[in-house]
Amino acid sequence: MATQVLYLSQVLERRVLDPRGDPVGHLGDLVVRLEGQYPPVIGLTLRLAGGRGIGPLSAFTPWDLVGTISPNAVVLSSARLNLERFRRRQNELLLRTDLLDQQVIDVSGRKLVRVNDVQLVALGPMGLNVRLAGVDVGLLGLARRLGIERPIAWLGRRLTGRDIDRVIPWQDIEPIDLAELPGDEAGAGPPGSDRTATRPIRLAHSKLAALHASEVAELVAMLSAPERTAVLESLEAGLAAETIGELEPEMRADVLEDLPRESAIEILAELPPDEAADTLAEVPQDVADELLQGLEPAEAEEVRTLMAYPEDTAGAMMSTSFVALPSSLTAEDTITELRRLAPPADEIYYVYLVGENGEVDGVVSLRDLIVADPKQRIGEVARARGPVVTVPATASKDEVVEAIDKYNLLAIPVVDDESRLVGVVTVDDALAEALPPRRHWLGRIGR
Amino acid sequence: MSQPERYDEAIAERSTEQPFGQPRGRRLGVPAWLLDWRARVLAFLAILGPGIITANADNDAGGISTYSVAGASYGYSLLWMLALTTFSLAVTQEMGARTGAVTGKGLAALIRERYGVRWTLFAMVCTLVANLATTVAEFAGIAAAGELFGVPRWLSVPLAAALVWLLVVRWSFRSVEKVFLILSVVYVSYPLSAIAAGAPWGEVLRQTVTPTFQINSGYLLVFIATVGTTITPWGQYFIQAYVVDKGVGPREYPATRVDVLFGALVTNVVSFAIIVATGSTLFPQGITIESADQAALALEPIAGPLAGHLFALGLANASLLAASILPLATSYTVCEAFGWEAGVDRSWREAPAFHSLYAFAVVFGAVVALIPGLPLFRVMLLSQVINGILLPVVLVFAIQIARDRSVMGRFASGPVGKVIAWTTAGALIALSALLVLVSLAPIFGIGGG
Repeated sequence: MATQVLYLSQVLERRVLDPRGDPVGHLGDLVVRLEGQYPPVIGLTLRLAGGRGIGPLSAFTPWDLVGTISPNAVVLSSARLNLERFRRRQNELLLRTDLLDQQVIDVSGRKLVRVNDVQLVALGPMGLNVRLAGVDVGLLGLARRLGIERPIAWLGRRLTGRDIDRVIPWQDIEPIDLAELPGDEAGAGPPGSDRTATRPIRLAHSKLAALHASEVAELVAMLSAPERTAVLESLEAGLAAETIGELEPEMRADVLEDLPRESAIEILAELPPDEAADTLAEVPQDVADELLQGLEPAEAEEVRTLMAYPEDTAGAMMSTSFVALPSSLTAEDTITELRRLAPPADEIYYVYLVGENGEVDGVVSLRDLIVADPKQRIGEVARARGPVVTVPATASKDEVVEAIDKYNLLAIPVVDDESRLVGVVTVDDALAEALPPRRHWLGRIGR
Repeated sequence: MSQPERYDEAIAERSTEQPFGQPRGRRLGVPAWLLDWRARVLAFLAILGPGIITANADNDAGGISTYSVAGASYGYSLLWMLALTTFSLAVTQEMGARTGAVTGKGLAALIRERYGVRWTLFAMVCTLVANLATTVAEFAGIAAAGELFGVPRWLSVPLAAALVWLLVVRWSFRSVEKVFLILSVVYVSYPLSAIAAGAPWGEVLRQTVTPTFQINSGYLLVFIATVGTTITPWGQYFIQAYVVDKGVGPREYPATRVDVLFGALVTNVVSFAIIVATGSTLFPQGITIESADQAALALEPIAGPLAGHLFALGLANASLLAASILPLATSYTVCEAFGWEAGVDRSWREAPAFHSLYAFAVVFGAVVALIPGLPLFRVMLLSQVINGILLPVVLVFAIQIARDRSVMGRFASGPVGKVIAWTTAGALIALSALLVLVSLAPIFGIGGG
């Protein structure tokens, strides 16, 4: 038997027959085990006929008891039935409950899509090696569900000159965890409900790891709040922190509040202090205090200092990590020192020279260091550059952006009222502030 | 090296200082608020979000016309029903807000996820019909308001359509809504007018607590329209979307709940005043409203010869506010249900379905309102009848989802809310059935009303 394409909607609720051809019930759902590129179907849930009085009873039937499967009916190869109620195990996905009509992430298209139908392929000599091939997100999937696939397919071909089906292969799809329900943390739901009995599922989201954190952030920002928390919780801490760092502070704060305290602290510790401060400013005071307690004391103090600056000022925008070295070093030694410190990309371009009281004496750029005579002291290099452009910590967002633009800087030093260097605003932080935020339909920022 | 390698340590030492101005932090200033009454008022206004907006948008062109007709034709006799509807409105709005806060999703998405494609299609067709009818009513309201100022409808309606498009696509709805909210103080003129007209308050109160009922199609139409304009299908979607959009979660929900309940009360105080004002002025003179200038007479006791202009201002404001929400909400709702890309900041190429639907709703509303000789007031009333008949469909989905423990967890609806919501839906279904019967009866020669 050749490879056969099958859709979930074609088999759901079809009769399930015993080997003699007598109906025993209806196909309630298909269970796949999430492994490999195209996960195999490992069983079905059977809604038994004549469930009156005891409510619909779902029994799990492993796939090796299935004789044939077709859009008309499913025939079992054995008359033995296991009446034990179905319970989902780790790494199992219910195609109808978890996937059909739900939102999933289209990793290749980098957007959320709604599943109109699920595509399966039947392989092997008997066509019994059934695998999850992809999700149908097109109009044709909707039409199939409504029983008008043929006329719509014909119409689509006439109008567009090509087939209008749109199936995304499973390898590009990341399903979204069903979030835990408020109050259902123990996992105990009312009996008789399939969904509750199988909640919550925890997925690995390994496909998201292939994306850039900012892309993941854009995707999770579109999810509902409970789903967002569930997805972020499942990500590896590093990626989760980077992703959260890319979210708008308000949404970031909501996520941190929702996460278990330990995860929130872990993620907070991964955030740069300036981002951490922006986030905590949006969190209620008691929660912020609790989270700060979890950080290392020095880090917590730094975040507290940053939180003390009013919103939309240079102080609130700045980062407090930068490279400051004594002016007596030579260019060569400075480069050696930079190599040892290995600061992140946005901190390596400028080395600040700071006087005894912490005031900025000068600045040398990475370019200056490379083109300078290796034996020259960086104090001299800085003097040749002329005076340092700084902004006071009280400067407004617009003033900072203007200064960076006017003097063509990659970062601008921020000083307090006694001219002491307290931080730097890098060009990408300034750019993020200068760009107009995305709008949702009711005007919410950052969707 | 004598100096720190990174500057972090130096910062940490000085961290106890408060560098500049007010520190950031959401709940830092609480004690100060309590001392300053202005801050307290501001704090109160700040939580007045979704509830008040929906409430105000509820008193739209369809609302003003329906309540005016109700008062003019039936005096105070529908007030008892309005009083009961206040509870229904509070319960249904609370339900929508709670569902939004718990799930973080819109009603259309939940209907799709819970009930599949067929039921979703059914719900969306009903929603689309109700919303398009209401959109027509808003543009009819603009036309009627324009005519009171002597502006012909071929000028006012296209202008309004262009304005609505600009407001929504070029600017954000949020920045516009404040203007509309401020303008809605015009509504204050209704209670004032009711007082100036010397409404017999004892009688008003008596009729508010005494249920009466008539079985004829005119009464049933107004009855259904009054419920259908107070609790609307789109309002059910809107409150939920607004709560989701505001980022309200279960934690922040208690404040939102107060806001929503307050909003329901305010809406119906205004509705109540409109009915009392028309019931005190037009009803005794036997004027049943057929046009906007007649409806404006209700404001004569307070505004005298300016009544027409005052009424037109209120009507235009209400219509524009609702007209800028409805097509947008409709388009979002449908796209959300079917998983189509949506957003005013998406291009036509990125979100063709969204933009087509939005454009269709605006153009449809405007074009129908432009039909020469269209009885504007009757159209506004009829649109609310359609809303009332289709409301149970949306309500049943909303009720079922809000009471579902597998969706709502411990926030699932309690018994009191469920009973009120079901009674509302059930009463509307019964009334609609009765309306059909009463309307059809003469055809079959029964009763002959």
